[in-house]
Amino acid sequence: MSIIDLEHLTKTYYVRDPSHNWKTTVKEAVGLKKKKTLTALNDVSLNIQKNEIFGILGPNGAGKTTMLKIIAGLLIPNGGEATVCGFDALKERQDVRASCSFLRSGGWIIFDYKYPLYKNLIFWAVVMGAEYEEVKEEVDAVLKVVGLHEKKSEFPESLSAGERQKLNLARCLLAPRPIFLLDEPTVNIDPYSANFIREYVKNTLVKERDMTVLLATHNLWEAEMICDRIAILHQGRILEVDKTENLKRRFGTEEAVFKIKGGVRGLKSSMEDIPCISDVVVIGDVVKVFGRDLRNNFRQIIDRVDGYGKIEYVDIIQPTINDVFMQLIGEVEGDRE
Amino acid sequence: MRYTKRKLTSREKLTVLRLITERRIRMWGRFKISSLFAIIGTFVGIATFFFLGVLVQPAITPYISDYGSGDYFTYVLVGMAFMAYAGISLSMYSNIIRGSYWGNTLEIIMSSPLSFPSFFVMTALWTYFTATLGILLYLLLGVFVFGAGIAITSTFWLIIPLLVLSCIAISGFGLMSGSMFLLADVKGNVEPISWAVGVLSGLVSGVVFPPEIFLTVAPPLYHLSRIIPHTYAIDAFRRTVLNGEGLSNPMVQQDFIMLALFAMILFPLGLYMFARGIRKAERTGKLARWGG
Ligand SMILES: Nc1ncnc2c1ncn2[C@@H]1O[C@H](COP(=O)(O)OP(=O)(O)O)[C@@H](O)[C@H]1O
Ligand SMILES: [Mg+2]
Repeated sequence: MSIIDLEHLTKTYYVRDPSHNWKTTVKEAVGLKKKKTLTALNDVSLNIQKNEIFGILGPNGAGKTTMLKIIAGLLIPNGGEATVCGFDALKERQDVRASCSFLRSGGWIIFDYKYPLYKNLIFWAVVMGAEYEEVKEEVDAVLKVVGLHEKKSEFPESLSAGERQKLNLARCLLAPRPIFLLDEPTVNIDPYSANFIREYVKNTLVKERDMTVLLATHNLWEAEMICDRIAILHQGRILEVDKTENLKRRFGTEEAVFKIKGGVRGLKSSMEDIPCISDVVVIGDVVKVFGRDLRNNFRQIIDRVDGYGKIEYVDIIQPTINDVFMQLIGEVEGDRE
Repeated sequence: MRYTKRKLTSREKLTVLRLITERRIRMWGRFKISSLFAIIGTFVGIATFFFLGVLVQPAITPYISDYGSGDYFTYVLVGMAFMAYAGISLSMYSNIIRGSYWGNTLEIIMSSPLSFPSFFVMTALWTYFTATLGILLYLLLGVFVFGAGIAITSTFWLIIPLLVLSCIAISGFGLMSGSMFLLADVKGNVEPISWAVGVLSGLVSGVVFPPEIFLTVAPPLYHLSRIIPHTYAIDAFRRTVLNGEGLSNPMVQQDFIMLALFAMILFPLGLYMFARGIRKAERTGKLARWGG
């Protein structure tokens, strides 16, 4: 069952550069000058399933936040349709908004800087519609999850950047809604805490509590760790959507490393006819074979290498989402030169 | 933990109101010294009019003899007290919008099941409450220190519907003013609509001198005074508080009718513009100061 449905979503922003003045406004109003626009989302269609952790990966300015804002019911698109939890994001905006818990980057700014952390949290959670008695009981547990329990009575003004981000995350956790929109959630957060938070999202929110998570990030490693499916977004367009594993298999490059005792002369040219191999690099007695789906053709590769000498060790390095990202974005960026 | 509510019951709304108020009181507590200075400022402000009254009383008596005993100081005190209220209705909405825009809370409020109107009412309640305390202090100082002639008359209760009606009418301007922030990108501290209404009402609505004075020196200003709600509200205020005149009095009746008319026109217009402003911000993605 899909919980979020985006159909041909388009969003263009009206941009004003610093040279804009009242004359420009008049000219634009009477049609003498064309309004300058920026296409942040270009014909985006997606289905996100209930109980899925879905990653939106893209460079800065790709349109990730724009997409999340539309899903959260906080931004009106120019074209297309969006259905969130069965509600129309254009017509039933209040219901759409109430279905999403949105972690905005920089969202910690809402906290009262001289009001104890836990009181701040209780306040915002209740404003967001959480039950007061329940929130009072849960606040400690949530502060433990994000690792701020020791500072619960301190003022937000004294928190570090990472701690502020944790506080912001705690606010979302304390007011749970069926859809969790996480916009660069672990920015500034140390690796240990970030890992703990990821585990919590995956095991508690999604597995136990049946929530759906959308994770917008350029932290590829993080996306790879927890996302079931990933969409690669670039300049407002979706380049690919697939299961994380499939993306790696389809677009990533595997690397097999051999160390050989004996001659390696002629090895490179002798391997070029194997279809799954894209490149072979020989450095001293180390041979690196690059290609897709090497694993399934490994017998054939080993046989070739074996003919040249004794294999001392073999290692296969799996592709990462990082490779996929570089490959896909690189293709588009390359085109424009 | 259960999912958050989509709609709040009245009891849950009261809890939110309590938390908002608690937080406001704490914030207030942070600025004790400035509150103290504000009180001293009020005191000095009252004294100014007291001394001014000594000087202008003979000249102004014929104009204000309709109100109470015709004492100038009492006349001004009531006018100023009303203006404090009117000022809140005028500036509150743009203050809330400006504050939540700079503080990035607008999006959060919109995602809350509380809904905008309840949020505004909740914030307003506290603002009006503190204003009422301030005005009471003002009147008490006026009566007990400077001997203003205000007494609790039998029609005193009328000030409640009078204040509510005035607040609704002037809130129309307030909402328009708030909408300018989003509609016309007026992000400065001076917003044209509230500025114009504020300045005009201070000049012509009869706060420190009756608008009838304009009839001989500047007739257009007199006509101007007839087309803003403040003039009627201040008149009715003085008639009920100083004269004990009630709804049977034709002047008070006229004031109430005019105020109701203003309320019926200005408030929906303000709401409409405000909704348009929010809609625009939702289109341009400018609900929050920072994108992300
Ligand atoms: N309110 C806005 N007005 C004009 N341009 C905007 C606005 N918000 C975002 N943009 C632009 O749209 C593009 C996509 O932005 P965003 O969705 O925030 O990207 P990201 O993927 O980094 O989150 C960026 O180039 C950004 O500058
Ligand atoms: Mg972003």
